[in-house]
Amino acid sequence: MVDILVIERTGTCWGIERPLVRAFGRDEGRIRITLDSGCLGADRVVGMARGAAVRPPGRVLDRYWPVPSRGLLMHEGRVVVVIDPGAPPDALACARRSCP
Amino acid sequence: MTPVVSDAAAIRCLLVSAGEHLCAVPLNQVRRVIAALASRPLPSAAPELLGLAEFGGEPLPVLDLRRLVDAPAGATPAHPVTVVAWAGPPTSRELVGLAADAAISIADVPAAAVAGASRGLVAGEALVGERPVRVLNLEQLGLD
Repeated sequence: MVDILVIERTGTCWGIERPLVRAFGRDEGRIRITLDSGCLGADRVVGMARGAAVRPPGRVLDRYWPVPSRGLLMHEGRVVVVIDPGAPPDALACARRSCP
Repeated sequence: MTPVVSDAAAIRCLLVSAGEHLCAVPLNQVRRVIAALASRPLPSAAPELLGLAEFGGEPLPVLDLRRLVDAPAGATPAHPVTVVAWAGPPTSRELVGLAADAAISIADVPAAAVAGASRGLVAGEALVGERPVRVLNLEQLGLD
């Protein structure tokens, strides 16, 4: 169980394990989240899921969604996809050129 | 998982329509049938995956049954449903939502009448009341 930072990008909720987050910033109206492995972009921060139980994504999701993830959880009635920080989804790409 | 057999030679199934096809889902693989769940799409998902929804306080992947069985689109359904069902082998099954156009009825599909080569999710075809029906085997879902 770990705290998960929940963000939203284009209508989908994404989760990032809180210990992985190094910094927040703001760029052109978008939130920038810096991890050790790079930067992510978000439309807004939804909140923190404290001590969240992340369940594995499952075989069906793996079969039909080719993006690695750590799993899924519910937060305030919404489904959250917890990202694999080593392979974040393209949908969370930070638009800033200087970002790694 | 052993199918529910209503007599020595029949599989009790839920009949659902998906586009222009009629599908039979073995009743022992069905958890619940509810009004169509709202799901949120995932970027870059395969067309079969409509998105993720909430069911019973848990995340649920929702698949488009019409696309899974490669059925032509039908008329816009008046009362679409989500069939919440068990997928995968019995030892590692998981819940999925199958978006369908309508739940029709319960029917006993004669096991001996299921013909044709098994193609993953579709175990074969049978005639139920003169209508061709695709008999599904959800244990194969996600394995292909």
